[in-house]
Amino acid sequence: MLTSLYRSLTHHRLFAALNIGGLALGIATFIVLALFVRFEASFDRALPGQDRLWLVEERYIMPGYPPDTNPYTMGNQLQIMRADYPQLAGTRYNAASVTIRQGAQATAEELGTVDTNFFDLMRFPAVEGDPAATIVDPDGLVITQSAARKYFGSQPAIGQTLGISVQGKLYAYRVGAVLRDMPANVTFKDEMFAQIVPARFASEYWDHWGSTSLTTLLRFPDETAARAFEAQLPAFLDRHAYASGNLKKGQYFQTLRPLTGMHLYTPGDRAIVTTLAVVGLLTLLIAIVNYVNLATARAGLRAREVAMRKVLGGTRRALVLQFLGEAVATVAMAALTGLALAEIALPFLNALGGTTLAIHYGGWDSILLPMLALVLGVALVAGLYPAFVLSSFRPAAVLASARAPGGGRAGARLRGALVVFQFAIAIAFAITTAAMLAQTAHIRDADLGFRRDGLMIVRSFRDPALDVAQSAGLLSAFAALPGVTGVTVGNNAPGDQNSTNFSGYHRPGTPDQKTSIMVVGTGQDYFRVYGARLLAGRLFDAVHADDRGHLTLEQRKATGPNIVLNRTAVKALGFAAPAAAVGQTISDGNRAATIIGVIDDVRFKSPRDPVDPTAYTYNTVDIDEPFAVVRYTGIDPKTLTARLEAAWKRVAPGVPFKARSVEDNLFERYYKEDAQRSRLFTIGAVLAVLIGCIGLYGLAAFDTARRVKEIGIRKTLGASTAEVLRLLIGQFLRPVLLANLVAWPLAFVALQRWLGGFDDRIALSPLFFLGATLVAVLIAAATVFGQAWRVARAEPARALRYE
Amino acid sequence: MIQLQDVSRTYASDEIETTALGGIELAVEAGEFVAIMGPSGCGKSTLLNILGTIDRPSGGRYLFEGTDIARAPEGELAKLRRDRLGFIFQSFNLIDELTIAENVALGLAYRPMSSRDKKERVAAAMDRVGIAHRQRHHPYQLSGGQQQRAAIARAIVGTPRLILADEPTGNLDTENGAQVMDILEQLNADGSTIVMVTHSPAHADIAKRTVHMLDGRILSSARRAA
Repeated sequence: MLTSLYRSLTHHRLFAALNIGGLALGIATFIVLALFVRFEASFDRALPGQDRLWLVEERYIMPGYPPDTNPYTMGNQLQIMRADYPQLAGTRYNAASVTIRQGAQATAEELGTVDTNFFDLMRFPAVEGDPAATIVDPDGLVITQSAARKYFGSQPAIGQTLGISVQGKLYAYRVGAVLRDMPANVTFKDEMFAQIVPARFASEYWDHWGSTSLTTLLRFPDETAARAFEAQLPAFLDRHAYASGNLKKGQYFQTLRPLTGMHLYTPGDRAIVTTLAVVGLLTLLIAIVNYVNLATARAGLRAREVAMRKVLGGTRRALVLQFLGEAVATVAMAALTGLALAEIALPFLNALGGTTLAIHYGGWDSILLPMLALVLGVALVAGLYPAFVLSSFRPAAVLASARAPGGGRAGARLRGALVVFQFAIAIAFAITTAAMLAQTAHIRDADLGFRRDGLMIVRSFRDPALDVAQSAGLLSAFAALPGVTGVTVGNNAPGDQNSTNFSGYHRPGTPDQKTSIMVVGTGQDYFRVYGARLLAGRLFDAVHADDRGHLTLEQRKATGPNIVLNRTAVKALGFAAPAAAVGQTISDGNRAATIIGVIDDVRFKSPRDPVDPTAYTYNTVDIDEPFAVVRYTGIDPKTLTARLEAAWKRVAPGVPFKARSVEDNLFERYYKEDAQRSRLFTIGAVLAVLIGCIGLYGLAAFDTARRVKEIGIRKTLGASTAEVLRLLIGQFLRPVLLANLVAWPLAFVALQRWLGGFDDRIALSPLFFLGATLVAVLIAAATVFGQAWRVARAEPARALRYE
Repeated sequence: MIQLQDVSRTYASDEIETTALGGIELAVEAGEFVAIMGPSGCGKSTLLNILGTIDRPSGGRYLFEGTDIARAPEGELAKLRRDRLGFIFQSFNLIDELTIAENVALGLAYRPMSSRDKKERVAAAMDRVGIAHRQRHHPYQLSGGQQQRAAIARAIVGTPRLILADEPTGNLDTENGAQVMDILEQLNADGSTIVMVTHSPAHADIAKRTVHMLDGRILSSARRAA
């Protein structure tokens, strides 16, 4: 069998190269995308018992707004639940921004604050000490191997003390356990863990129903128990949440979500990963179709071999086994080549996609067994039909005929149908790729309502360790730096949103028609620094005392403020136009606020989320957790960062400095994952088209070789070279054009769903469809052209002698 | 009608150059029926291919109705073949994937003509050679004689001025061969000019003139006694 395969491959090198090359590309694409999908789907499945953990999530359904779900609860909900359900097992987690102090050095870190039973439920393996016992101590600290190396080098970490500044206060923590470094596919992954001590970590709204203070995890023996408990949540909320008066029945709900569903939290994230899985599978399928197409097209060339084997006593079963064996050997060669291609491509793809994918040959995630299964599966799918076609030839008919059986019209139709299938997928990929790239470009270049270039966010400005004098000193120091044209503060920034507090506002005389509006505190020059567009009225300034920029929090609570609304808020409140809102008052039930101006919407949040109705207040005194934002010109961001850091260290040397440009912040927070996934999708799609073209090239080579004599006849009868080219290329373009009938609706539905996940999105232009079709037709025509041109230009006399 | 002046054809490979034709001088008048005879490899088919413009001479002039077409562009030659020439081959050269009617229609495929006219002409050509009843069949479902008659129908469907037949009876038995020769004789009688390569002296006798070839050259050209 191997001799037969060797002969077959070496005698028909082009087909062998196309077959093995196409399959190898398909397998390589499949491997890479399967690794990505496996990684994305493997979150929180590695540790024992994680499948029994469920998160309590909040769900708001406000009139006029899309449902909004988040995986957080108020701080002490678990205690309230335990009081109602004493048998309930659960724990809490929250990531707190802290500063580690070692001598004069200050390092910003994220500290996982957890309940004392956290490590009973989350069994992170320890290399030293006992995490569960350590966390019982309010000053106990559990760190990873990496953190141990970072802070203590080669010294033993156990027993060492670290100064940790939390909300401006310094605590001495003692390391009691060291955890093994965590794999990348863990959600609650931190370098350090300490006990949740509300006195240290609780914010102002810790016990406020509806606040997003932390993650509450519950453990159930199985899903049935979890769902049974979930069914009791409405009654629980009745007893506690609605009774508090903060939340309304019918607008606020709680549900449970398995921990394994935390990663890929939004439907959009899940859709992208599912799509990439589908791309991998379909690309492999296209390669399999190539194999089937080329193998059946070539069947005629092996008809005499089959006939002679039958004459010499070969049974059909033996022939089927022989051809299946050849398929296994061919696929194995392709799989090895594909594996090598995947290994070569992975470093580039990791760099492009921001991933750390790797192929493992040993251990529980070894690729060897899946590869074996893949080889056998692909060989069976790809080899079965050609094996049956080949083994079905009747020896007498084959040996008596001068013609080689090529499957006849039925065979040609099947090959045509398979080409339609391949190109339908390839064109659908091309359309979706074009639209995804356009959307990715759009969200990077779209008008956000402010000037995103030349803006730097100083994120460490919200560190509670800064006192009022330092904050004021920093703003003055920043403003004095060369290249800086403006400095402001606000408790939100593009890509960062501290203020998630919404209040229900209503217009005078309509107390029942409340509109949920987000309130954002802004400092001096906020709108000017961002470059927001004023639509009506005026902005805050120091001249108008009634803007109340100088009031303290307590004073502001007692006095109605002046506010600036965004366009969405004006619309939500029912004003006919921005100008109509100016001078009007709205009330949150406690105090009335006067609208002094309206700005165009500024989008600080994800392009996936709608812009919230927003009311801006003026506060130059004590904005809660403010971000400082610096507008600069004439210098590069690196130089500015260095200058800002130098100024920072002069004014607040004990507080770590963190700054990032607005463009980088938006990219890191909102665009990066879409951009990375778009790139992976693009690579998959390009390879799918390439593999489709490899198949088309093979078929064209086969078909034109088979039709040399026919072309000679046609030319003898007066066909010109151009007419022959039209005939040959047209014949191959027909299935490609037909493929659009399948591809367009597929791509349309997929894109509608994907783009539906973005509030700020491009229109689904017909140009994507026409463009992709044109590109597919051109590529297909170019693929076939070489073969067709050679045959079409041949002297008819020579072609007629061709056998 | 056609005139070859000092026509030669050589084939060159990396190592050797082979002369298939040399110094050919031949004139064929309109309405003639010329048979070309000679041993295998003497250049008969090459000469016919050059006459049919499906091969190009390496040297000399080929005048078709007074115009030298030896070095005419490919497009012009394709037009000439389409409008004025008809071909009949020893191995029929029908296309297996097409039906007999479709094969015959190929003779008009590249002419600007309404499909209705084409249909009528195809039907008439098939009628004329007696294969209309097999029009829906594929070539491999027909006997050799029927296939050759289909090939003749394809050659004459465009009413060409010149019919070139390369051993049209070479693959046929005596009876079928005779039937094909009857059709060719009738076509000539109706005004078609025919140049036919044949190994059969009997079939050559049906032609009005016989040209004998040897080693790529014309040895003699003799008209049949009336």
